[in-house]
Amino acid sequence: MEKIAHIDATTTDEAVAALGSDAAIIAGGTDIYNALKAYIYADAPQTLVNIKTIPGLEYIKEEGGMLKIGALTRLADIADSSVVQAKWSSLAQAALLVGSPQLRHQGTIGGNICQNCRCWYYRAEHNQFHCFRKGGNLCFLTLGRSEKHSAILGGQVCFTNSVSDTAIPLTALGATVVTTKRNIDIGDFFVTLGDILDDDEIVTEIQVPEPAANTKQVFLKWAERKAIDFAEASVAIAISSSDAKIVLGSVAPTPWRATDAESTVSGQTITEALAITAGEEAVNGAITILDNTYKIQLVKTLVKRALLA
Amino acid sequence: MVDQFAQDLDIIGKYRVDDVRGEQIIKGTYKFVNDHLDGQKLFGAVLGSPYAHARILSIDTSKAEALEGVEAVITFEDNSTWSDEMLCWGQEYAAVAAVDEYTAERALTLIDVDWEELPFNTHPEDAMASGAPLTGTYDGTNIGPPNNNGWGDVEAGFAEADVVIEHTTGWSRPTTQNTIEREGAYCWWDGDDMYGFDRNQNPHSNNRGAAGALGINLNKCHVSVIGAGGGFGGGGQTREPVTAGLLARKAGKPVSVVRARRIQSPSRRNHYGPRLTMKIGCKNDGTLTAMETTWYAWGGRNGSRGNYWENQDSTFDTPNIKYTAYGVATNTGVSSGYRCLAHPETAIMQDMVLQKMADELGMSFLDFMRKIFTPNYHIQVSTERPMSSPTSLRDALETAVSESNYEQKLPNAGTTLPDGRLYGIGIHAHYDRHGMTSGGRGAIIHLRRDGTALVTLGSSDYQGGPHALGHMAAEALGMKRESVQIGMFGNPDVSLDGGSQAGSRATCSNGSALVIAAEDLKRQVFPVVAEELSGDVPGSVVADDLDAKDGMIFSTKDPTKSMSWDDAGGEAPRPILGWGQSWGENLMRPMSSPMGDFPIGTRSFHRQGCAGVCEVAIDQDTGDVEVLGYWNVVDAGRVIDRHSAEGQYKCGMWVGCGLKGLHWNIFHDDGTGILLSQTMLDDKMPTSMDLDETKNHPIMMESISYTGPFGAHGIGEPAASANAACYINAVGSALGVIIQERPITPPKILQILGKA
Repeated sequence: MEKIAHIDATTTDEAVAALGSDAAIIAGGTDIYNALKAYIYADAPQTLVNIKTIPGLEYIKEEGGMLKIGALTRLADIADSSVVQAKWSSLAQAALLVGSPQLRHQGTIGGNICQNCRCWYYRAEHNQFHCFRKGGNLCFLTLGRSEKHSAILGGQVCFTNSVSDTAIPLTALGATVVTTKRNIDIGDFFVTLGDILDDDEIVTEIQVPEPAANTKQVFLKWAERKAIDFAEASVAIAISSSDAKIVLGSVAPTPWRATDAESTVSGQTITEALAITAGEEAVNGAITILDNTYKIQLVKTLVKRALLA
Repeated sequence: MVDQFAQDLDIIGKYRVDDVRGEQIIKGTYKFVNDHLDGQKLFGAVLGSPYAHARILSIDTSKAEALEGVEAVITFEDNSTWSDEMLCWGQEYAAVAAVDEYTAERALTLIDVDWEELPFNTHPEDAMASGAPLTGTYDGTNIGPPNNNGWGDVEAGFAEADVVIEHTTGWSRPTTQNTIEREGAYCWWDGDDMYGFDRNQNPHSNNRGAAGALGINLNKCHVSVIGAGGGFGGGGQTREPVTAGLLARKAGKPVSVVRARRIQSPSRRNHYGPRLTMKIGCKNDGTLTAMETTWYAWGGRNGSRGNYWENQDSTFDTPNIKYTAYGVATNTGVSSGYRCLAHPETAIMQDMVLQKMADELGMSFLDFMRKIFTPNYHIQVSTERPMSSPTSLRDALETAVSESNYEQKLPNAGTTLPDGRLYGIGIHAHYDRHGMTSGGRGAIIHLRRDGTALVTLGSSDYQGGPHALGHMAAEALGMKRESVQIGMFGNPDVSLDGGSQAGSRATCSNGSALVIAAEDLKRQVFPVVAEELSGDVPGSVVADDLDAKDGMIFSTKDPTKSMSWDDAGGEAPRPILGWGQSWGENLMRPMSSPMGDFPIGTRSFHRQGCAGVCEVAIDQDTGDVEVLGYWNVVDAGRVIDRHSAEGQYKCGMWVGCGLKGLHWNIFHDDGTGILLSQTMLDDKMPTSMDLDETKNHPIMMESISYTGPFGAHGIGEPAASANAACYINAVGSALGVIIQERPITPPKILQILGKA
């Protein structure tokens, strides 16, 4: 890890002023430190702007029919929150399945949705694979080992997968990401190469509307191990009598709405046959690369199990 | 002299010492090599090859040297353990020492190299193909010289057989053996003498290696092991003291070098991924007539061929056997044994062939094993030397069968459980060579004035050694356990050569030396005590009549005449040092058994039976495997320290499952040879959520071995290899097919099930 400047911001304005193309935000640090120590960047940030020192960004509250979570709220606190567990249970489930207890006590909700991808070509030290995500013109997953960290849906130039666990239920629940500049529907927040945040923009809050009464919420995650590992496939559902959201995680560069499956189950009584059909429709349009065919089966299974849970 | 082989002893197997260091490691407070003396040292960083195979045509370090804060730069031209030809990605060729690690790392990026890229192989099948590029390990070939072993006439044996089968399995993938702590060294110079700390499994040998590489006499090289951490077979030889020493000499200041994980992984020993061809001949009743094995080891850049023979030579009851082993060089990381020898791949692979033969003969796999395994109290065919302890491989097998109810459960293999998962059960057994008594180990015991004993060993302190060795010393001396302190480990300046700790040898090998040292110490102390106890009647008590127990030295003829060790320490002339040296030929007692009597000095082969049974449930929609139960039986010899033995054993079971079931792995990009799995996140050791410890049933089949001190054996490795094999067999029984390439991952299982 190279020596870089470190600024402890005390206000969001101070943090924004310190940000720029050669600076990066640090909060819990579980992603950025790892990335810096592994020398993954083509152009490493020269400055870390610590926002953990900004007071007032760590809270969980229910306000006006809305769950509001400060960006610096630790994942462990979200998992443990009786407020979140009561009405936004899939988010609590997802927070509980992130990494390990140590990571959940250090990592924040803001960092979890903004974290970098885990593609091992992208993360190879010293930019040894100058991939599309780093400004190159190739995605090495399409040529090399793709059994891990890869997408089967929505891949275009970059075929790595999104890795945030909490982003999946947040998408299913229709969350809004509040930043220092604007409010962003979470469905617009993620793009193939990461997120739409400007270099000088900071996430300050996550807002999640209260689900309709009797909304069924489930989050399921499949990873190589039952702890520590990032998901290779996940699903979050939010099914009410009038609406159905089925969001897939870790199988596309962004959280992926399985809209065909949503249409199938919307307003319907969930039966096993319907759940199977929805699972199959969830992978409509999937294109596998080399070694990640198994993810189709995982998605079908997770969707089916989530619907029947 | 203490009767080491008495049925009951005072301390051995009974005394418990809390594992203070283990608690420190868990809490993160333990200090490893480079946690020491912070603030007084320069920081070293090491540069690894960006290519799988390349030659350095020229190297320019001037920009790195000019960077402010850089105090020394060395290259392959300075370090005799490095080369200008890179045989794998990550191979070291330059290093920098600077005022902080950031500057050191930045300086590495300023080293300019003119490379000649060379063709490479990352897979042994490619490397073995006709016309394959040479990896650079061997001259003119990628296949190393064979290792041949055997006895009898296999061709005659096959001619005599009713059934002959031949099967090839592999390649399996190499696996890592990372430890939580990273490798490193901290060195400084005082005149022509180099001092330092290192972490390895072989302190004296490593110190000799460092002296040779640095071009200094051995008496000028003083590198001690400190904070050894985990071994797992990969900590044997380290080169960090050479790198740190060269940088320190050039900078004129202490230098600490820590290998980055991405550099450590290809340089540290990875376990071979082998390919095995086995041909076996049997009579219709299952009697083995011949066995021929050809083994290729995916040897990486060092082309290591491994060693399967030392299990095969003792497991099977066959008059004819032939073994040939090759190492295949590839441009990937260094390969060698994991938890010793060729385990657990060989155990897995041989079962694949044996099961085919059992099917061919219409026998159950279990009955076939019962037929072909060596009988109790076996004497090795090739040498006619004794092997094993009073218990045997067959005892271990039958214990595993009965404890797990294997035969009752076997008919359920391949059936569907009520929850829709597939049920499988697997069994495995073999003779395992671990924890043997090796020669060339030394130990010193210093009797201090207060009657306590300080033990100094030249070994590293891996494997719970301090506890077990302390028990042995106390038992052999007749002292209270609290009076024995295991002091310095792994300081070559003050200790006798303690050898390598590979293969769980600490207890047996260093323990032998320690027992002899205890006797030596008593030989010096007892005459003094006898004189004191004689009082006014000189010669009324003689040293030969003295014995010691529970902290007291006493006359066996008149136990009222006694003296505590505390008092003896004050009476004895100073200094009193007992020393001992173990030899491979130390058979500790004559054996009266069906094996016959062998005099002391007969070399034994120290094989121990191990067996395992594993039950699994496989999720047919995700490929997930849940272990429902593990029964693992090992001939443990005499258990010296029960607490650490159980820990070692359970760890072995855990590792065995993880090694072959949960994709603990290394991955290269085949197009470039670059290591993709560059962090511990890719090191898939199972977590406590992946394996339920309550399903783990370790069964230490205790015996009093003929060979080790106090009847001890090694413990940890057999559990790992047996567990891996029975896990693979269990998954195979559920699926109806054995997956040839380990590790068995859910995607591979889904493929077998036609779902991926």
